[in-house]
Amino acid sequence: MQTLLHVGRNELTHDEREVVKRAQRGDVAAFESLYHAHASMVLALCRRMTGDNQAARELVQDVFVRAWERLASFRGQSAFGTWLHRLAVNVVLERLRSDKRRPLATIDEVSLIPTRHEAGASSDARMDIETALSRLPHGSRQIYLLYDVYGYSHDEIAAMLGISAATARVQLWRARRAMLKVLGS
Amino acid sequence: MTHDTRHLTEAERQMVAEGLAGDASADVAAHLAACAACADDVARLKRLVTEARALKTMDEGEVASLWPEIRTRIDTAKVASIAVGEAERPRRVGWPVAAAAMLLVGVGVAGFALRRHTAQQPVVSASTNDVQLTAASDSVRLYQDEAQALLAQLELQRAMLRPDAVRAIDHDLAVVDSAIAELQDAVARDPRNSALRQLLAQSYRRKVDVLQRVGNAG
Repeated sequence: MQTLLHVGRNELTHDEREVVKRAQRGDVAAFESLYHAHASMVLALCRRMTGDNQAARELVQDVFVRAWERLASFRGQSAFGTWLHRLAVNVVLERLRSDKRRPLATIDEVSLIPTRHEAGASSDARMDIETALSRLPHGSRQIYLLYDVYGYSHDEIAAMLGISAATARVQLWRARRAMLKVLGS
Repeated sequence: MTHDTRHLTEAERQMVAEGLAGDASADVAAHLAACAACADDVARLKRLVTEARALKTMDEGEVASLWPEIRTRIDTAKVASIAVGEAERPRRVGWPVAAAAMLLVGVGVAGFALRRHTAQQPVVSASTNDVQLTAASDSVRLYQDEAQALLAQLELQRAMLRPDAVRAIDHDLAVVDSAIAELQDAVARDPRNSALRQLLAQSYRRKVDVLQRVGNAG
């Protein structure tokens, strides 16, 4: 099985272009190669955005099935990973929107987040950023991840979430404050 | 703006942490040099932003186990979805269908089609069956057209292929074509059987897969 060694976010390499073309012609083995090159990235995205390992694994499957269905729409204007990442974000947001228990607009829950001390962690326990992320309310987590971790612009995030860019910016700031509170720093 | 008498605003602190202070950066820098509280807060924000941008992905090993299910869903998505047990089961089918189904190893829906004895048929509403029939018929037409185009391409390539490769291709196509012929007969005898039409669509899809492999190899 062919494996892509490295795929940058903003460039479509020659090898990747060929693999994508083969997949677009229906070559499932080529698509499997793309899967192995990008699945870790997608799993990390899904896990971080949902905070739920099982849901994340299901979403990875949904993302790649959707990617297969929509491969024809990939025109090679960006790296495949960039296209896939955006598609994955949309799939996750669709899932979260359809789940009434996880509304996106929960930024006001920040004040309810337990700090490391309140959560019962020992004072010398190291709470890394991933753990802190998992404690953010969903709305805060989406915006923080999309901007600070994945580098989407406020305009892009606003379009994804159906809010204004100004609101996205303010919510990001509040999300960072929430992260600092959870981290206890 | 002067920062002698007041701390930085939240917007200023956040922008500085991102390196986006802009035109106000001189004033902001002057304030930060003089105000330990603001400087500490900006430093904490900067660390957070830096750590977030450095987050790594997870181990590849965790995702390998997810591929088989994705593969199955990809294969089954290529034809109209009809849940097993919700539709009529196909009646007697012969060895070509069985052989074609063997080619469909990995496709989760293949096994149900191989029953040689008529199974008890669950009740399916007329409207549901109509939808399934339409969807399966659409899939059949889609794959028929695609297979026809690929066959034309194969004929152009045939002279350039190795004899053993040609024999293998012709064998695979013959198996699938036999299954298709038998299924077409079965559909003609039982045109309202949506499961039979789905199986026919799967066989055409398999033919497309065989032909695509040839095209890719060429």
